[in-house]
Amino acid sequence: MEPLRVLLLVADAPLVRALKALLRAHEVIVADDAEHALASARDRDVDVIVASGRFRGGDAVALLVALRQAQPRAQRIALFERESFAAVAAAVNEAEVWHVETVPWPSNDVLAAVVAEAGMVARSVPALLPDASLAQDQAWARAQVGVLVVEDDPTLQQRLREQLQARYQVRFASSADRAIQVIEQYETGVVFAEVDARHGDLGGWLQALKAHQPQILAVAACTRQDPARAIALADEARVFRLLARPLDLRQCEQAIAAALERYMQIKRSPDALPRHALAAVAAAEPLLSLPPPALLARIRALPARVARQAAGR
Amino acid sequence: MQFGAAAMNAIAWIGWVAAAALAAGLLVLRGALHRERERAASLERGKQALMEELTELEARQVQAAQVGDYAGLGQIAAGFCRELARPLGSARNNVQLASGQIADYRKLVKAYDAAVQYCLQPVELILGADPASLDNVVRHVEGARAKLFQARQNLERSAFLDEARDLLGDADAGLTRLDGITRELGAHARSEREDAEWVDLNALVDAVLDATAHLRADRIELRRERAELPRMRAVPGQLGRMVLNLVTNAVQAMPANGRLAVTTRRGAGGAVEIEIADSGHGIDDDVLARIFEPFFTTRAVGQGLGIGLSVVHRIVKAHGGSIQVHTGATGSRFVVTLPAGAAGTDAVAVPPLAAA
Repeated sequence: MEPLRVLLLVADAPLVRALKALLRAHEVIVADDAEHALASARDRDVDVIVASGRFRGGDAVALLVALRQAQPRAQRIALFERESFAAVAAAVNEAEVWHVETVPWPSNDVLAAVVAEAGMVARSVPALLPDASLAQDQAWARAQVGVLVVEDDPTLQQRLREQLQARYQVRFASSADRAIQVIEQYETGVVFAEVDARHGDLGGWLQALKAHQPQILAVAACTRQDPARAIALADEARVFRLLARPLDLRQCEQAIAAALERYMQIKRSPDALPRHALAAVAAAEPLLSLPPPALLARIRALPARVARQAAGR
Repeated sequence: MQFGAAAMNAIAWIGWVAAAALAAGLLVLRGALHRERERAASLERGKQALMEELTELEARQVQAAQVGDYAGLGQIAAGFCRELARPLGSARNNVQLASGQIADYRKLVKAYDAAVQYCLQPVELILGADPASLDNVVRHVEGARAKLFQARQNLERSAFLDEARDLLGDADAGLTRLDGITRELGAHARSEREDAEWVDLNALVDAVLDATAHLRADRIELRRERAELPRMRAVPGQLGRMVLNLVTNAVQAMPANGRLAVTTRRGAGGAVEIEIADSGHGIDDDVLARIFEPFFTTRAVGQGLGIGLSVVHRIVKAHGGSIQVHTGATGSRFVVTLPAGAAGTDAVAVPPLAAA
């Protein structure tokens, strides 16, 4: 593989040294302020952007958001020395990062492999740009493509129903099992799931679903605002949006609208799907655990069932 | 005679009446005395019951404070674990990376060796080969010189060894930090004793801030200002608990982003001051009046015992100090003033916390 062009947005000197040593097989450009970063990303056509900490002119996440506009082809990786749920959620929701990592990272080999895979995706998979024609498709998409809400709290179900029903084809499932049934029967573009469900953690379920139905975008709501689990949801299950409970219903709707829009974009440009699929590189210390075998078997059988269902429609 | 008998009768009657009145008065007095005694006994019983309740309440408060301490200890332990994990992980990563750099440098040395070997080949060609192929020999020598030059240049320009040295330097800094943290942890464990000793307040505040760094995460910016302070006479465990409670309280006052300013400085009359300020929403007047009451909390049930600030108050009192609270829409400031004590004297006699 040709060496990648990697932009490091890191102000901390020891961290820069470690990352330069880790990525010595690639061309590494270091920027320690926002202006330099934006200029480097555009002028040098970088493949991967790795950002951490605070800078003159903003923090890593704010810069990654700006760089997403300036260099949409590049894949973004956020490193956190002192991670918090809110910071991880901002990296996922606003900067749409490919990977979130802690500092120090658990494995040099895994981080090097993550950067290599990110670069490969950046070079070979087209980036999805905002599309004006999409607005025309919105009404059609909302009428045709389902939003599945997996939520076992009846009160919240009711509130979400009131908020979403008028605009979307919303279907509700109170368990992961029932949710699979809905996906088998109807075209589903977005899954909105309360991860801390009463019957168990749905993080592993979202991961398995992403592995076998990568086109479905997940919006995860978390009652337990654990930053390590938030990182796992981003890296291991590639959730599209991360929300904290108690839910802000407007934020929910925005997340669902963005996910549905992206689903439609992927549907029109399936080449871009790998940007939203699970990474090939496994986490150094995986946190999510797969669902029970019977449920996993049904998830594995989903592609064939969904294809049959689509042929019948 | 008749008058005399009548007078005698009258006197006797008067005597009887007086005796009866006296007896009645005595009876009334006795009754009153009895009632008074009963009231006094009842009051005594009430007082006794109140004392028992008070003792029980105090015992419960001490117990609750201990539970809070254990929770605080768990928090400190979690904080220390995180602080240990960071330099440890970085040092491990750097040692592995430096090892990779050295391996890459070895590859360059091998390439240089190969170039040297290639250079030696013309000598063999000259010694044993056909003289007519001298052109080949010349070409080989030129090629060999170029290869050798390139390999030598690669070696000279290689930053691998410098980078490996820097990485090991950073790993060394991380290990030194680890060493410091384990010493802090040891000092904290020792400070669980309730004896007053000479304390470096700046170091103690820094240790608490390190141990609570995970609470601030990326969302809260820390501003630390410190003046040169004399060592002060105090119970380090209690002082650490006091700073921990104030810092935790300040962090909890900023659920989203914010700024925590921690200042240590000299106060009036040789006292030392610790100021802990947050950029939260401040404290309402009705809450402000009660913040030092035990078990008073504005948080939801299960999210705090409401003893943090009452423990702070007790510790400050036990150290002969005072605490001031300034609050407004832009945040709150807690200023603790403690007598520093003169070097070499036991200026502050600190009773155990439970008895404070």
